[in-house]
Amino acid sequence: MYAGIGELIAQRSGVMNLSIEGTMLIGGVTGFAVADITGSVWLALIAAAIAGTLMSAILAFLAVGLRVSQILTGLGLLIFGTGLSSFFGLVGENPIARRPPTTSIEPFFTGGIADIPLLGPILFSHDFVVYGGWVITFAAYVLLYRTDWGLRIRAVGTDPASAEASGVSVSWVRSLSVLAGGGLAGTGGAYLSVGLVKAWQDGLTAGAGWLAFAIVIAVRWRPLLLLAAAFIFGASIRLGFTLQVVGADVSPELLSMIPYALAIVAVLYAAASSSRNVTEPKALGFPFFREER
Amino acid sequence: MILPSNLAVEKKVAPSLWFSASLPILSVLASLVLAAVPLLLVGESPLEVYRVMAKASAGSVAALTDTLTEATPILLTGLAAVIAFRAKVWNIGAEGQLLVGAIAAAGVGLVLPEGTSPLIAIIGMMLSGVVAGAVFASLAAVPLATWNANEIVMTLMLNFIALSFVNYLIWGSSSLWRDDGFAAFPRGKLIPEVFRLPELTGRLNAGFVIAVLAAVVFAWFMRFTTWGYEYSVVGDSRTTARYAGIGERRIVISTFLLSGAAAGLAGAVLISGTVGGLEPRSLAVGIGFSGILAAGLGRMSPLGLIPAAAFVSALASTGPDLQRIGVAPPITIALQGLILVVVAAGQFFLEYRVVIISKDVPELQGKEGAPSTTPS
Repeated sequence: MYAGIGELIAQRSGVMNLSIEGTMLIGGVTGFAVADITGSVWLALIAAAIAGTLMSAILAFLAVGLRVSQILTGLGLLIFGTGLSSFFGLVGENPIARRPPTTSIEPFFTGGIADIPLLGPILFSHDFVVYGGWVITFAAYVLLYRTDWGLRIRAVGTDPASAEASGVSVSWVRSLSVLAGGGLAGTGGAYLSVGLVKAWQDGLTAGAGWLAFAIVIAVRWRPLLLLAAAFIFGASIRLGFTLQVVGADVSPELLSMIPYALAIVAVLYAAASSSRNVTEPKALGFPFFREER
Repeated sequence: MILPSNLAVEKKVAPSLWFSASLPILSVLASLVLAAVPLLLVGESPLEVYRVMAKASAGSVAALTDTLTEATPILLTGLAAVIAFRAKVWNIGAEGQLLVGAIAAAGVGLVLPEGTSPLIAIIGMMLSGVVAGAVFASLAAVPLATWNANEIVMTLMLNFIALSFVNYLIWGSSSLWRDDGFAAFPRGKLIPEVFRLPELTGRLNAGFVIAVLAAVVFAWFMRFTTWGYEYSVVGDSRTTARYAGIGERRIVISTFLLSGAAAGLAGAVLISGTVGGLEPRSLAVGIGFSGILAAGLGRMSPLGLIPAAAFVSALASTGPDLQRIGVAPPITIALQGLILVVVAAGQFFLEYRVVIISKDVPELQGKEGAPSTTPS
């Protein structure tokens, strides 16, 4: 969800960040290492956010500053992030890839409130990172639709020439959006390693970044829908585990297809019904040349 | 990012030929320098690491033929990337198309009776790989042409689905492809030995010739046929293509299918060549992404791709030797990513120059940017 919101902001400003999976991995390994050394979850999440921001700074410089292909740069950074995270995970005599966690994230609400039937587990059983994600999603909605900044981001993503003509610096808005997106993706990666999996392993994200990318496009760049979609996709991943636990006679390999198949259906549905849709950032993927106006 | 106010960027009239040709080499050198940073951070000597890598990939005849052998599928997925990317069709799904091509080719190899003429069997396997790759690509190509559905997402998700499906065939079911001889560790059933591509020297097999031929044929096709011409126009400018009455939709779909076919052929060549059976651990190793890297390094030229694929394969194959000297092998993956980033960045210096605008003199002073600088 963090990664999804981050990608959504970046894409709304017209930059397609394909390195999101690699950024999450870098965030994941950084977060886990920092949690391991300091024992502090907060420091881990912050360090991961910084690492993610640094990764996307490269993308911002190249894709926005130098206007080179967003797709090639993104894919290059993706491969770079995958390799580097895996490399740092294996360094040393006692690499962090084989270490148990020294800290964990506790549920936010303690006491009886999480025991309320049905609503309890859904609403009150999570840790502060999950609630933070909800807050950030609403914040992103407010940012994009209720503030001048949001207007600028959307303008830059839809019609950069007009935005530039009305005094908005396309380069700055795009760069900042990409940086914010990278920071959020890094945080998401750290939540995976420190909070959910409670270990670091190669390729930990296992396509979560790509799913986030797909969801952003499937919900046509609308933040509140993204929140709903993240729930549905989370549930579809859980569905595989649950069916296995109750002993349903379905192969786990086929079950693991569900979220991806769901993403395809969602993207197709969104694309097929998008004729009256106006949310699409039309300049997505296109560099903007100030000198060529 | 914003440039200082006295700097501006202007388009070069024509990229310098010398620079254009040396860009891949400069990029590789710059990436090697950049990758030294993480190596130094963990206390390894970059020079020693690079020496071991060079020796492992090109230090002997055996190492060299191994490198070319591993380059074969990368050349074909690289061709898939070149074909698609030149037309600005972003097929990131070579990985999945390769797997589906491998399923089809292995299926044909296993179904045909062993007495079939090897030539016919091999041709059959190659054709089935090509067709399967193209059909799998059509799952993303048709929605792209019909609804403008984002092909990057579609092909990526299809990659995951193809991989899950291969895993299912081998681990989750008792399918035709599975070798039940190893119940605890199921693996892909091997096709009959006579259906394997003949070896040329060492492990290098005829698949390499097929891959090089495919690249040359596409280069010829692009230059000398009507389709090739329309294809280039669509790649350069969709608007121009539309005004010229070129069926954009037709070109986009055919490009996508051709791209998928090349990736599917890579799967078939692997099955009939080095791998021999539908073995997920040998097939799903990121060959699709290596292909994109080779395409970038070969500057999207089908012929430049040939040396580029050999280089990418050399990089990727040095892992075991690095392990031996105690360096974590994933550094080669990080290095591959860096190279792709730097090559992409080099494109900027190829097409533009940074000029200093002097405030009182209206004339522009040309000043070329250093080609190898990039932030790390």
